[in-house]
Amino acid sequence: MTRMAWLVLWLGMAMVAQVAPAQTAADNPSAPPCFTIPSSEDIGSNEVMSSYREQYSPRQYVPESNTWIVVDITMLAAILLLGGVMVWRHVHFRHFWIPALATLLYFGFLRGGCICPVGSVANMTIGLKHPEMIGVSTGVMFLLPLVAAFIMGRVFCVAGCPLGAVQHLLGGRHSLKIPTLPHAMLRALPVVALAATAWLAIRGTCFLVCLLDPYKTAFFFGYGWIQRLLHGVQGGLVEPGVLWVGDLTAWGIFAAAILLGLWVYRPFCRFVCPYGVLLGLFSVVAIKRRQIDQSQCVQCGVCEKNCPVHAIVRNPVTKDFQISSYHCIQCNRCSSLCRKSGIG
Amino acid sequence: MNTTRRRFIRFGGQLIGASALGGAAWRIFTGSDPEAVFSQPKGPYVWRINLDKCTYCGLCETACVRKPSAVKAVNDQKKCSYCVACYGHLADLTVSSELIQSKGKRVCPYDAVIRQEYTGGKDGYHLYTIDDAKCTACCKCAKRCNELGTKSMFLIIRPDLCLGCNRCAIAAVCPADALEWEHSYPEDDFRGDYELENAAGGMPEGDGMNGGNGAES
Repeated sequence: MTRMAWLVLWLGMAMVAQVAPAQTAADNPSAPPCFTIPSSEDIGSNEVMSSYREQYSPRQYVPESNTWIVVDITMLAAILLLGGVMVWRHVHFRHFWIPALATLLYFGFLRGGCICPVGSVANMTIGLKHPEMIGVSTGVMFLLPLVAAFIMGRVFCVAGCPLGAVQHLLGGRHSLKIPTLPHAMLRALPVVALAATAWLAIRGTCFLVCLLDPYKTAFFFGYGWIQRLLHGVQGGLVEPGVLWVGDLTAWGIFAAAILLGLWVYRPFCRFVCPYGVLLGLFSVVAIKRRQIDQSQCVQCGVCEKNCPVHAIVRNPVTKDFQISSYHCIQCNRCSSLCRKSGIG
Repeated sequence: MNTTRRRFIRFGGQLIGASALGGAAWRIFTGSDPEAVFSQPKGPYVWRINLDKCTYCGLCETACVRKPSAVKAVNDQKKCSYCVACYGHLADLTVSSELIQSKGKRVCPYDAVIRQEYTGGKDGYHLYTIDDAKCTACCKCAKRCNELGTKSMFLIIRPDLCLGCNRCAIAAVCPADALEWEHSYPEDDFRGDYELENAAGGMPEGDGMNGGNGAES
């Protein structure tokens, strides 16, 4: 009987002990007294804390300096000038890796591929509607390649465009010949992309052109690593762990775009890029256009075979070769390969 | 004849092109809306988190193209109540005050919330700061602080880490639509209820580690 009473007592105490912590935590003297948050009067009456609060200066994180704008625009102008001179002097096309690499390193990796003139189409559309929504750098970035196109044609595509640089450096040498009708339909896609980009930008839905860019993962990756390196060199904050920008999907899209580029020359430039439409329109009326000197031409067809963007076509009536300034990206392949110096 | 006509059409095209370029340039460089007043110079844009909308869902951690995210949690030292047991620091507050540092179960999975004794001993006032080298913007601390505590912890997009993507990956998935596109200016760990103090005393300089070269405001 006594044993039974002890058992009941013990069980009861065990149950109380199970329930107790939750119920009596506030009364427990060893628990922290701060389950009620101290009021600001409490802190104000405490001299040490109130003076700490008074004297604390907030930690500030500054954005990158505005001088980068000047550097960006200067670099774009310099690379465009380099490309323009190379096109003007008919430099052999194998040297065009120089502006491409400079573009990739600066605009692609150092500046993260953003903002680039291609992406600025969306910003510019917004800017035309609300001018206060666009920065000077974006505006100049958008206009400068167009001014260059107005003078020389689409120089920007080979010198200054980070997307073009990736496709140039990692692209194949030969372009698959696409049948005429699908090719024409694919070539109309940039116009659709431009219209959709402008419409979606005004609607405020999204930046379609940035969404379509398959190469941005590589740019972000390079940017992240370079910034990290610079921070480390300056003795600043270096984030722990491997910096792996972008997920598997993004890298898959990047790999697919690069693989496609091995057989289809510059797939993004030719079949997606909305900025190319604008560049092409300005190239059509450019002051100095690439033209075939019909008095020199012996109609060998080397230029037509080697044009990677199929901008050179034979007129079915006159049998003359003609260059479409709208499609020509000024890669200099035709002028380098022409045996008669007939392309000027 | 044919050549002349072509040249004429081309000249017309050139005129149209030049006027289009000039018009666009004129529109964006001079045509600002007089209603829109920005105190900052017209600089690049950055993304900022509107704290009135933020729900501390934690998507900033996973969505950002940077890994770890450019979003970091900070604790406003002027708003913090310096509690002994902090909701953003401790997952279970029923720990005695001397055991918090050693045995208290942390909210932060990376133990980025730092607790320091400041005054008044173990039951006095404590400072809470967030180690930005460890923080991944999982928002667990800020969520608890805002739901249960003083609402001093919050999230900022660090302008020195943010890539400033045109299409912010976080903004694309943010359920509260809290990310806003604004002119860039220095971001700090003020919660933002102290405009009067700032206006009177001016914004104090940063602590040097993050530099102070970009403050053109």
